[in-house]
Amino acid sequence: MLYLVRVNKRAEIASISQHETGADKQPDDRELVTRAQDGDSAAFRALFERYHRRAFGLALGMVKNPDDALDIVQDAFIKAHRHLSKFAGSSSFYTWFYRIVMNLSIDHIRKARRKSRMDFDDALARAEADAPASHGGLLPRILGQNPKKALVRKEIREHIGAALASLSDNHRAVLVMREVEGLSYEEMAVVMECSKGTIMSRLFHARKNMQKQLLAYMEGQRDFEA
Amino acid sequence: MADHDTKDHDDLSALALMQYADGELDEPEGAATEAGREQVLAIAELGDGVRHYVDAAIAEGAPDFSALWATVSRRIAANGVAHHEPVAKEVAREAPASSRGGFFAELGAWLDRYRGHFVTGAIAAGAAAALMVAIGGPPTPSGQDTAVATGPALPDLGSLTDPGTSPMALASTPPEVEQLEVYGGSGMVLTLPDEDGGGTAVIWLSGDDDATESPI
Repeated sequence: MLYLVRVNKRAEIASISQHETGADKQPDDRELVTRAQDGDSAAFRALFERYHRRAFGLALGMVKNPDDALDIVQDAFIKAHRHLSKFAGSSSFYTWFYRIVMNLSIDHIRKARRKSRMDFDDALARAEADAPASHGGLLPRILGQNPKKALVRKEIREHIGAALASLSDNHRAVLVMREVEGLSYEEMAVVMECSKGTIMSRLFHARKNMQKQLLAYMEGQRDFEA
Repeated sequence: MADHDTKDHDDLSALALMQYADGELDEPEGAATEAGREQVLAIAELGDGVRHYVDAAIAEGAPDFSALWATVSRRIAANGVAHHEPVAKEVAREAPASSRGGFFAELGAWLDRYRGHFVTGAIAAGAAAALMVAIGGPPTPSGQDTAVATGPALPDLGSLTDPGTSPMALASTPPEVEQLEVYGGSGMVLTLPDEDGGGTAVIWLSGDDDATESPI
């Protein structure tokens, strides 16, 4: 029998964090934002402490390079600080902040691409247009029965990184937000400022594309071992 | 046609399974089949792979998060002190006294921020009125670094003076006029002798781009 045990990682982290630190007395994001808007620098720092690591994880999933990811996180907090007064609170702070992180990450990638005169988006669009749907369109089990054991191999990890890098910016963004931060479709739609249907479509194609990349790698490995 | 319908159906099923795997949908049709289970597990495994990749990259990159806030707050202070008060206040509190300029530097900076034609004009008009009330005519500069400033003829302000005082009596000792170069413009300090032997300083400043003429 299949038991679906996927959890919202963000909620899990928040829960663990509160449990470990007795943080149930800590102010929520909305209160911190209000205080920061009123000029409380400690409140802004509290928001920083709450989100900088996770922002780094998102940025790293997008740009691969830790130094670049750190720069993006820095820029994101500076931008958030600058525009905090305009944050109306219609969405949660983290979706608003993640949007900043994602936009900066995508900007960074585009600048890097312009610099190196490479256009991965076009290549990806062509590949996606040519790609046949495989077995109903989703993933076969590509990582074996024990993915954690398999993933300790640096080579596989690197290949996952390469596969992620080959995705279009939007596809990578939704995949990272979903898998690293556990954002819901609705939350991702807010972050990416698009419809929930668009998010579903992007996520679907992102996963399919990752599947193709990793399948090619696994087949290459099998051929090599044979 | 039949192939197309089958593909659409497969895609819909795959989308539904993906939503199910992501916890966005209750168990859809087909989730209990072998193929459905395989797909759901494959999504979970791919998610594990991505998370492990990011976690490992963070561990390997080992960024110095402890220094991050210092960098962020420093950049906020440098970039946008006007946008947000608290960090600016912090920086102002931490700024050493030696980093601050003198009186004229601060005055110049203040004028640089706030001066406009209206403000400068008001200052000039006020200074001119005060000066004319006090001395009743153009001053005679004195001192090594002083210079005579010439200006347009001023209207007769005699009717505005207090009949109980005699400006000309004060004018018997000419005021000292010092020309100054201040930040972003020039200025003049006029020291007017008081009756009790003291003095009253009138400072008149104008920016390089100010069209307002000297009051004297």
